[in-house]
Amino acid sequence: MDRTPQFEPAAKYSLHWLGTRCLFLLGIAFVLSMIACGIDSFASSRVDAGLISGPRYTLVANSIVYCFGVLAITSVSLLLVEIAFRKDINYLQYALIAMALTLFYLLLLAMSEKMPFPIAYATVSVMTIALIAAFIKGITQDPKAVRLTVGILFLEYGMIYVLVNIGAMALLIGSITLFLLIAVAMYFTLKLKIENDELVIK
Amino acid sequence: MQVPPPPPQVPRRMSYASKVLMLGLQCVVLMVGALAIWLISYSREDLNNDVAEDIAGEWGRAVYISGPTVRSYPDSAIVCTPEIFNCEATVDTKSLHRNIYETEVFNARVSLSGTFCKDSILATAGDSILVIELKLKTKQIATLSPLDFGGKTLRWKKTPESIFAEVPANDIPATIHYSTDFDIHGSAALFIKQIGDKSAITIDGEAPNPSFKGSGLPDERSVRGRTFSARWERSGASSGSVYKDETGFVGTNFLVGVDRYQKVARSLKYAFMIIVLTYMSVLFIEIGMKCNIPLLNYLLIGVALIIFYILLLSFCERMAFGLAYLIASAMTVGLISAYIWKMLVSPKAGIGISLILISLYAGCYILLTLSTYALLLGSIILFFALAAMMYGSLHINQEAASN
Repeated sequence: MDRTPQFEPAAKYSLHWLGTRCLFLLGIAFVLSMIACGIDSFASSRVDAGLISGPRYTLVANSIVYCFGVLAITSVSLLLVEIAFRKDINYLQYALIAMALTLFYLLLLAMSEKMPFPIAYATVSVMTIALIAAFIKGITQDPKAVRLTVGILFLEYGMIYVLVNIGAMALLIGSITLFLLIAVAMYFTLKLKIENDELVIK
Repeated sequence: MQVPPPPPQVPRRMSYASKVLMLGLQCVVLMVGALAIWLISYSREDLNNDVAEDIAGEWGRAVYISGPTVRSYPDSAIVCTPEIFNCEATVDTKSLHRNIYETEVFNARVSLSGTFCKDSILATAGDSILVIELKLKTKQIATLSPLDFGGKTLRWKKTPESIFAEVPANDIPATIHYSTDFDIHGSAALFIKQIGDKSAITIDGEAPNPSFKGSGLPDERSVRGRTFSARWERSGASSGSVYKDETGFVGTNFLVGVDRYQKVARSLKYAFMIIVLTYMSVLFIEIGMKCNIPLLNYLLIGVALIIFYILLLSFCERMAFGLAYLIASAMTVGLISAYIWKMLVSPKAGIGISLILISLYAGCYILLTLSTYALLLGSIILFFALAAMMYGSLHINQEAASN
């Protein structure tokens, strides 16, 4: 790709920037989903060892299924925070947040060995959300950005808790949710305008 | 020497070559999503088969009926088979549901009748107490009427693997007419053993995909939709020693496999084609309207095309495949064409892309339903799609040249 000589200061939030971010986040999501699969097989070995009961393991394994979705949605909402609030979140910080989201499953496994699944899930999700919220606060110093992230994370974990518990209906509800999510994403890209090579949300 | 004027500042945009390359990359990433959906469909099918197996275990598995035979005491090796053996079975299929999973089972009304010859009974079975035995899984019997044996009505007694009745050998007529009937629950298959010197077996009723199997193909058969009937006749076969071996069964298999998962898996084969053709159409719209559609928007369109398949999978578990396909494709087409419409602020582009998508999905559905002509029709559709693409690109070049 050739670069035309730039007469203005280089646009930071350009489409090119968005493209490289998306590729990086997709790569991170793939790698961490693999690690989540590893956590799943580790969990099944804990079942064989008799440390966690079968039904509880099923709940943990069902929630690990949605790992890629959680990573993708959270990353996209962080991108949105970057563009909307003009705050910089660097690659390392994205990676750390994604790791916190993956560590959730290991914590969930460890907790649900010791206590009932709903309590374990609530504790671990509150821990993860609080950690990420504190981190976002540190990065952006913007209470609105923190509130937005916390709200999205709460919605995600609440939705997954519902999906894990409704059993056979999960696929139907999950696929319709995916459809709605892609519609929302499309809506936001329509709001996304390019002004002097800069992405702006209108 | 004149200094050339500085080039006019144009908004930075990708060349079409690199854009097409990136779109190709996107297609590959989206196919990973399609693979994931294929895996989900596969695991759902496994789960469905497990549940179907479970239901069949409770209702009754394949039905094998052999008998009646007469012997002098239970488990005697020497048996006497009937002279004439008539069997009429009427199969009534119904589907059992558990949660969203379903399986097809049947209830068969079987009536057996025919004659025994007194001399051969006395020759093989002796002359004390006669045991008339019918081998079948007694757990699967729903209703059982008593045996009419030479004018006497005998009550059946049950063991897990057979039912039997006892009668004193001394007061039976020379030619013994027998008849009995029962309802039996089963699934997957119904087989009846051809015994006796003359046997005639008729199986009819309603069932999905009956396939006639066994030691001989039926002499008469007809399958019309779900209704079928088949008749096997045999005469002049020896009796006695034949009874012991496991051959001689005739009957039908019913394919109980659920084909909706196979249809989803088959429709996933066309996912790559649909994504590539949609991307090309959007690219043509972009070139034709001289606007810039970012790669992110392409990715969202591609993801919507992949989500179609997971919608299809989840809908078809609850309703007929055709309806599920209609709803899922209507949702996807609606979303994508509304998106293009709002993005380019052009109703024409939105209607154009919706027409293209509708024809793609309709073509894909025809390919799914017409399995025999699928290859021929599919290649013809591809040919025409390619021709349309060629025509489109020609149009673009002319426009570019005229400007």
